[in-house]
Amino acid sequence: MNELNAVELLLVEDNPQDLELTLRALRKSNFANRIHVARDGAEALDFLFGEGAHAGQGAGQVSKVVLLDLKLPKIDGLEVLRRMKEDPRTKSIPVVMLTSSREQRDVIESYKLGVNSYIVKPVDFESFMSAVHELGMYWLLLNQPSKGER
Amino acid sequence: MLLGWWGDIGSLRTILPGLASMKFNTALCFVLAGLALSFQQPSGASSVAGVGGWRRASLVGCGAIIAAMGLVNLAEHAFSWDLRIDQLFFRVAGTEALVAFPGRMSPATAFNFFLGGTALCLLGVRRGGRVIPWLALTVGLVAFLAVIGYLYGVHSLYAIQPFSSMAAHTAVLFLLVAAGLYLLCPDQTLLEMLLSGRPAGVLARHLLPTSLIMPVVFGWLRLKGQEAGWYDLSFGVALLTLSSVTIFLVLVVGCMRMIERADIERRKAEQINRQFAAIVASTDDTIISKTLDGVITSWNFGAEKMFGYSASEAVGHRIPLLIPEDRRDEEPMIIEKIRRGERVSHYETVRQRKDGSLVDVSVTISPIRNSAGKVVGASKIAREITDRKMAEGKLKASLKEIGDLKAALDEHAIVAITNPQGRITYVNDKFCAISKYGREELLGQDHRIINSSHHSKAFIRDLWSTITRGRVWHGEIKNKAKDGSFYWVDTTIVPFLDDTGKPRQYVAIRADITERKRAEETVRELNAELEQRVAERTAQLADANRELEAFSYSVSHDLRAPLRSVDGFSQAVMEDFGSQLPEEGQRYLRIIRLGAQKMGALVDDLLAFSRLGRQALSKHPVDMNRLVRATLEELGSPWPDRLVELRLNDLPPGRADPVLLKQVWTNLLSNALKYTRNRSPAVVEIGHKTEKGAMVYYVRDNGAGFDMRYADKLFGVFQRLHRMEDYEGTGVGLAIVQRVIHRHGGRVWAEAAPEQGAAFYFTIENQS
Repeated sequence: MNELNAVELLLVEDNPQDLELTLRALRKSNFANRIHVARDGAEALDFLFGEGAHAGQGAGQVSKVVLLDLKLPKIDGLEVLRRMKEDPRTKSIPVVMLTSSREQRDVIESYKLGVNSYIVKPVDFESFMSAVHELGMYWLLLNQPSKGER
Repeated sequence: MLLGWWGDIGSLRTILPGLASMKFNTALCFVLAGLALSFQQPSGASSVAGVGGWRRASLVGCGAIIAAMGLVNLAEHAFSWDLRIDQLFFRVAGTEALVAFPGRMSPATAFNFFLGGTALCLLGVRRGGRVIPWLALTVGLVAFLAVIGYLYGVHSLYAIQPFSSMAAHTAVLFLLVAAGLYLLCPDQTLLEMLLSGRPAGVLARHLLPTSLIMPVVFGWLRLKGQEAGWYDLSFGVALLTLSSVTIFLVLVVGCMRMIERADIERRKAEQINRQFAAIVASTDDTIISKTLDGVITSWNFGAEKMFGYSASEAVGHRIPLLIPEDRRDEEPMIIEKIRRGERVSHYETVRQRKDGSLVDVSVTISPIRNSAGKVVGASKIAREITDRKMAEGKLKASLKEIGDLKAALDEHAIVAITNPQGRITYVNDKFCAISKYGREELLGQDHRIINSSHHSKAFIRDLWSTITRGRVWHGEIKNKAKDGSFYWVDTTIVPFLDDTGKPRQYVAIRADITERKRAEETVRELNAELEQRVAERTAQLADANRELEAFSYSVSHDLRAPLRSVDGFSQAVMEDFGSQLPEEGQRYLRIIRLGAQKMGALVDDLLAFSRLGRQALSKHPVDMNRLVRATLEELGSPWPDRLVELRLNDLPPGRADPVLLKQVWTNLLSNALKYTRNRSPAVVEIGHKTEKGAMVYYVRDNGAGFDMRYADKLFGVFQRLHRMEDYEGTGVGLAIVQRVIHRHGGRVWAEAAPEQGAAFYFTIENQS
């Protein structure tokens, strides 16, 4: 296992403003360590399974949580989630949907595919900040991930 | 004889010389009697019933002359007168004149002439019917005495006085006259009895010759035997007595046997009679006999039952008793027929009962004849036919009814009758009209003549198998008319079975449903078209929905992101560079952020609103009380320093989508709380009422209220009746309420006045 590439958090976000705000929120809460950013679904999958640009790096480098947007270029968030949960290597990585969509359809589909949490990005930045802070607190600090299948 | 006198020829005056001769007057009287008698018919109806008066006149005339002659002669003899009537026509000359009055008839002859003439007179005037036979008998006996006298050679028997004896041929002629007289008597009962086949007649016929001839013969033999000296008087008397006894014994035995035989026969006949009588008595048929005058002579039990008169009441009365007034003229006609010996058979008429009610009868009347074949009465056998008449009446009525029904049926339906072979035996006018065939073209054909080939073989097979099993078939058939056009008929075929259960005929009743079929076809086409259109519309709608979904998806996702940027980076500026910005700049940034947040709220509400339209309803029974309490709990207490009075009435349950209905309560209750912000205490009442049979829920407050003039804008999207500074809000809440309620088939409305509070009402079911 390549410890250099081992990250605590994979952030999948295509929108640069949202990305920046999210990173800013994480940083403000001091959760900025070992974050990897993927800008679309394909890149996220490459990183997770050590394919494409990440070939040879091995799979499953995320130790704590994947923050996943739903609407992504190339491969969307639900597809990424599905593939992760189908693959034994990535199956046990917690996935949190962080998305603008409050469509019930998306929520239901996500939970069906095995998402661990679903958070709607608030427009109000203060609410957004507190949401990111809380999820960071939980998934990065409190939650004890399974290590059995690594 | 007259010639003999005129020509003085002795041999013609007397038969045997030495014996008395017939006198001229005697002969004349015989001629007159012969003439009078020969004018008459021997016996019977015609002489009695109005023959010519001259016949009667001849009887009276001749009779009077003869009687007068007899009387005059008797008077001459009795008073020794000599009226010289003996010489009236002829003078007696010669040896004959030796006697005192040679031309005078003997007293016996005169006596006979007197009696005979009287009888003739009586006959002529039709009187003394009873006396005439006795007169005739007396004449006969006197003559018979004379005959016996001649036979026995006893002078005194034919000659009362010497030289005035009855001639032998006179005696014989008297016998004939007596017989003739008797035959002319109106009362022929004795003769009839004698000639009849009845035992009395037979017996008399057997006894008469013996009793007439044998005494005479025996008397003669005895007389002659004594005269011949074979025996003396006493022996002769004994012999006569013996022979008489013997004859009488023989006769008595013969009579006994004959009567015995007759009695046996009579008893047999009686037995038969009794049987017949019993039959007559016991039969229900009425059997009456009557005379030709219409007098009832017998009356059986059936008659009693039919007419209500007992036998004792009826017998002896006249038949018209039984005939109603208006039918009295029937009886003479019937009697006339009977009199002619004809019979009246099964004559149907009406008779009257004792109680005056009428009875329909069928009568057969036959003549009753006596043994001589003469019609003496009538037997009448009557049978009550009231029941039959009633049955006939009913039959007539039901035939009429059937006729009416048939007429009505013909008016309404197409009717055809088919025999078991499928040949048409009857069609009505409507059948001809719709099929455009003439009746003669259809009769004898089978239904293939109107076959349209529209129906499958299985269909036709099913039809035939149904009706040949005796079951009614009903269905719709397409037929082809003569001109090739098609028509539809709603058809009912009713099989009628014979005694063995095989179809006797099929009656098909049809109704023209061509128009209906055409209409159905049109409807089908329209429906198909409609379905096509609906499918198209649905597809379009589905497309639109998909587009809308895609739109709202992107709105929800993409529209919010820039807003977040605006807000987030405004905040970032405040945080990172807030110290470098003047107060005014910071205020602008706050406005920017408020705008972005407001925009975010609008987008969220809008998305929620649009989702409502697409979300499927899932109705369940809803406990309204629990739903309202849960909503209030969720709303929490956004009024920490406020005095709020909640009046929560018990609510009846309803049937609705609980998630959506909760949204309604949330919006209404949050509005109520919001617009009572400036009230203390704020009063919010939740309750229900029944209006026009529908359950109405309401939320009433004592808040700001609104002007009812703008009530129509209340439920529009983004419509607000209050300023943003006074009461925040997006103007979507009531639009959502209305949409949910409408999707439930309910109604929502409000009542309010500015600063007087507002009340919102809704129902969740169609008002029915």
